[in-house]
Amino acid sequence: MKSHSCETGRRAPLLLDIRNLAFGYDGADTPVLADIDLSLAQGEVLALLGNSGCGKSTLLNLISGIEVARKGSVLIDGVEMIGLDDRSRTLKRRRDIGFIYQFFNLIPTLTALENIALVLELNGCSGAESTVLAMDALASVELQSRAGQYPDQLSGGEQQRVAIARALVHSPSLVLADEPTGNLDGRSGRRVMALLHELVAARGAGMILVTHSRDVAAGAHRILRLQDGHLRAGQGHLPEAHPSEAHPSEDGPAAW
Amino acid sequence: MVSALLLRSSARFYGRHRWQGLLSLAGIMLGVAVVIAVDLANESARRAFDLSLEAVAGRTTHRISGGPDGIPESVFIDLRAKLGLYRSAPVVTDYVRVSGRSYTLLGIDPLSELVLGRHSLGIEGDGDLPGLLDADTVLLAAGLAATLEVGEGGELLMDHRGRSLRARVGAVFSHGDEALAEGLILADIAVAQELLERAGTLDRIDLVLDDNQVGTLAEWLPAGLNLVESESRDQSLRRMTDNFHLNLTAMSLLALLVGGLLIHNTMTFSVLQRRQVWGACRALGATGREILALILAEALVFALAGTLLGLLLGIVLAQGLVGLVLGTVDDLYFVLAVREFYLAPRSLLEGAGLGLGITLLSVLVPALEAAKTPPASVLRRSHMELRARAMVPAALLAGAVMMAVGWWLAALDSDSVVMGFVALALLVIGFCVLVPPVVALLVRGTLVVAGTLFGPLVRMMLRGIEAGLSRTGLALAALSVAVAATVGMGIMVASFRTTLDTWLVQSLSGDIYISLPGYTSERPGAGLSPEWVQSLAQLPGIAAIERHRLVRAETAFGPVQVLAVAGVERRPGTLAAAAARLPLKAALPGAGERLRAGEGVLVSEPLAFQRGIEPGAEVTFDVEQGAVTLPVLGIFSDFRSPRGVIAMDRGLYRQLWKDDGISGLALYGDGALSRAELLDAVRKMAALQPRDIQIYSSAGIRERSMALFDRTFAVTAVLRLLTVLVAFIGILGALMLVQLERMRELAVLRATGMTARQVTALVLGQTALMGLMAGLLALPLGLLMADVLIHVINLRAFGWTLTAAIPYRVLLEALALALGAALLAGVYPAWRAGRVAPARLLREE
Repeated sequence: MKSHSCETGRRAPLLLDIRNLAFGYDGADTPVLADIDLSLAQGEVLALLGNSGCGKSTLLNLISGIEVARKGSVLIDGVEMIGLDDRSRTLKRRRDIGFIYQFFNLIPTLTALENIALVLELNGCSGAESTVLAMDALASVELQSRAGQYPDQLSGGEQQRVAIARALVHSPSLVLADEPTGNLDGRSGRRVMALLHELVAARGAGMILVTHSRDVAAGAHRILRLQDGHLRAGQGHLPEAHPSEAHPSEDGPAAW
Repeated sequence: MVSALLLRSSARFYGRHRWQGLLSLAGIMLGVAVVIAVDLANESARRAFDLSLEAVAGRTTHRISGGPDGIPESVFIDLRAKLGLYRSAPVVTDYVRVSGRSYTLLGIDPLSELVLGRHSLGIEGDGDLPGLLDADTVLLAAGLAATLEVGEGGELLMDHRGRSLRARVGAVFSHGDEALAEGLILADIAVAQELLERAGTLDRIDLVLDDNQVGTLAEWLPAGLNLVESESRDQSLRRMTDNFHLNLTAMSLLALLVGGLLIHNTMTFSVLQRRQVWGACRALGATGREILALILAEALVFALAGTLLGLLLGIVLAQGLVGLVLGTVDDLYFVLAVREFYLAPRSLLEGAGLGLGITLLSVLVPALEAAKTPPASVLRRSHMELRARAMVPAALLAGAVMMAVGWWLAALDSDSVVMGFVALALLVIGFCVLVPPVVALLVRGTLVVAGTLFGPLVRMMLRGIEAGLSRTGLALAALSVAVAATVGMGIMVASFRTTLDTWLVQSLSGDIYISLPGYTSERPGAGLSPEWVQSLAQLPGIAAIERHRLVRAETAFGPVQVLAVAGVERRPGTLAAAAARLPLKAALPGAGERLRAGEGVLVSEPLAFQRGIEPGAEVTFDVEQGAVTLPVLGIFSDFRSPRGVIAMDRGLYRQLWKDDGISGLALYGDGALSRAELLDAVRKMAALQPRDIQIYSSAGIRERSMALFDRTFAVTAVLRLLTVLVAFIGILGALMLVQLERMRELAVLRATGMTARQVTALVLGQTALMGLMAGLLALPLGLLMADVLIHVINLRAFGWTLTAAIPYRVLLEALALALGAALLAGVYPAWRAGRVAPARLLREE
């Protein structure tokens, strides 16, 4: 992907710093998350493991400002997210964060290209500039030929590659991936993960990868486990090689 | 600024859901069209009314009017010679019929008109003003001449109260305002006097007076003549027609309310349907404000397109409606000289404003909801349903409070029609708020009470209704209100009809009724020939003859009809006197005897209501002998005219106005001849008379009166139909969308083993159940609306107390309408649900 002049992608040494974060739903007896302390450096990939319903997605929602905690601190690029109003959180999210969902969440009435361009338009890029950059992003996930297709005309793997391109097109400093392979078969999942690691590394962005799959988590620099609302150290390792190289492609692009 | 891509996404959404877009458009279009059509028709009628007043009266400050015999010509001469009031003009006028339509024959004095500066005529062709003075010569406006297909020098055949008149068209004139002169046939005053058989008398003298002159003239004016301000007389007429227009406007607003609810429902649905999209956009970084702007932009496009189409359709509808409205005004109040359709810019602007405003307002709540809700909640599917369910207690309370306030307002002792409509609006809106929670409680109650009795299919139907309440609640409310409106109006019209029929039966005790053809306004004139009436009395088979006189007279209450009635003369004592058949609503003790003794008068209910007259009050007549004050002995039920009738004994009438004329007769047979034979004999005698005489059996009069009633309410029936149409299209759309949205859920049911037939039955059953609920809920509201319409609105607007009659046909029709609309709405989704392969639907998600 080429660099662009739109107001996106800034960097800070310590990308994410979470202190004493706690969260619970109204009326619920037990909190979903408690005493969460977490930091992430630039270029670091952190895998977050946990069973269903343990609060992994909620943590990502709190980091991105989609959900708001009443207690604790979430610093992204030195900006405290907890005290911001909805509009400021939204502006921060669209500039500095890329989000990838298990169920893709592509807009059904926009084509693959337009889904990607939308993020750039929201960031103030002109229509023409957005189209050029979105096409580059689409090329980086090898889907140029599917630019004019609507989400329901794409396979699951293709939809997730569009979602990855959309999450990275504005060069965010932080990428949040919520079960990115949860809705894909094994082979497509491996392809998506390899591509994701490669593109994130190329941009020097940090990434938090939520998954319940040990295989997917294996490619991360660090693994943490979320259990009963608390973070615990997992069996992590810092690979010598880049994660994408740890999972060499077994099939050609046609397998996507 | 809204992102171009988001706008494109919205456009594509409606491209994919064309029916949804079209139904939204249809809802806005029909709502706006009905309001515009009624408003345009009302404006046309108002303008016609004003122009008609101006055409026959011009812009004068005062007028002198007389009793049934009019004003002696000498009064006009004295005005000029003795008082020096030169800015005065005599007028002789009456309605004549040409080719089946009523026109005003206006006799004027050209020289006086020059001084007064009105009726300045631009004569066309070879005609010249002196030509106007020729005997039997009239002038026509160019437009009217073209309508009647008669040119200069041509012959005009007119009918005046059954007499044929011939006149020559002396000239065709053009008037600055063609509409003003459209319904006028102008003649020199002498020609008009001759044509109308009013030699030596005038109908009125129009004047332009200053304050000093008013005092002098009032002192000088001979007894029996009245000096009235033109404006105050016109105002009292205008007030009555205004109430009629207000009724129509309220009905059109009801259509808009139903339309608005349905627009709100459709728009809310389209917003809810895309909650995943809004969630995704918010997660990607679209701000709440951007989402709000996008939804409002969408609504604006619909509002603009729907309003534009509504304006066009409204204009077309109005052209049809204006005839009905003008016809009703003609029948009830005033023969209009002007019948032109008037495209009032104000009506168009108001309609456009309402269409845009209501659409934007109706989408504001769901738009704010989508914009304000945290993205994580928007992404959760059940959020809106949970909210809707959480609002049940609050909605119950709010609806109940609104309805209670509405009921309290309706019961207030007030004569304000507007307040009556405010009460009605509160009842309707309160009810709308109540429908969703009441449906939820009904469903829950049914499930609790009889949950085990029903099979799983019925339980699923019931739960489905409750689960989708945020989407179905408003559609049900809109359908209920529309159906309730048909019930309310249906009962009101039926009650009116029954009351009128009962009144006719009470009032028409004679076997045969005879009168001269008259139009809206009863005018003095020679009436029936006394000799002919005498010879009629000798006819075999006639037991008794009852004479009455009906004339228009100026009173302190403005122009009213004076009805002079008399006892039966041939066999006194054998039949009750006519006065006894004026059904009394309230009376002083011995009112009947005192009336027959000429000791007072009876006042009709509308007049009593409008003027706050009660038995024991006094009414003053300016007659030749001077001012005569008489007590009001009672209030009688009367449906002849909303303008008011004062009834008195014929002897008293003769004494006051020295008028011996007979306007009509009631004949009582002695049983020797059948009614048909009697009718035949009377008709043979009438054929020998030089003028047309109307002869009807009492059944014939009833038939004619009911036909006139139906014509008067034709406009109401049309509006009722339009309201139902708006609701029908709306409910069709709303229920169809709800069911189509459930396709995936239905696919799951198919996948788990339900047969296509079971799924079809489930969808149809659910929509039918919703229709039945809406229909059942509509009944109490309809009865409530009918009660307010009958006992508050009608009474305050027209002064008529009606006896409520509830025809069960109206209630059954309402249920059938609700059920039919709902079933029809379910047909397409049911058909689709039964056909679509579950695998494909499940994959689409």
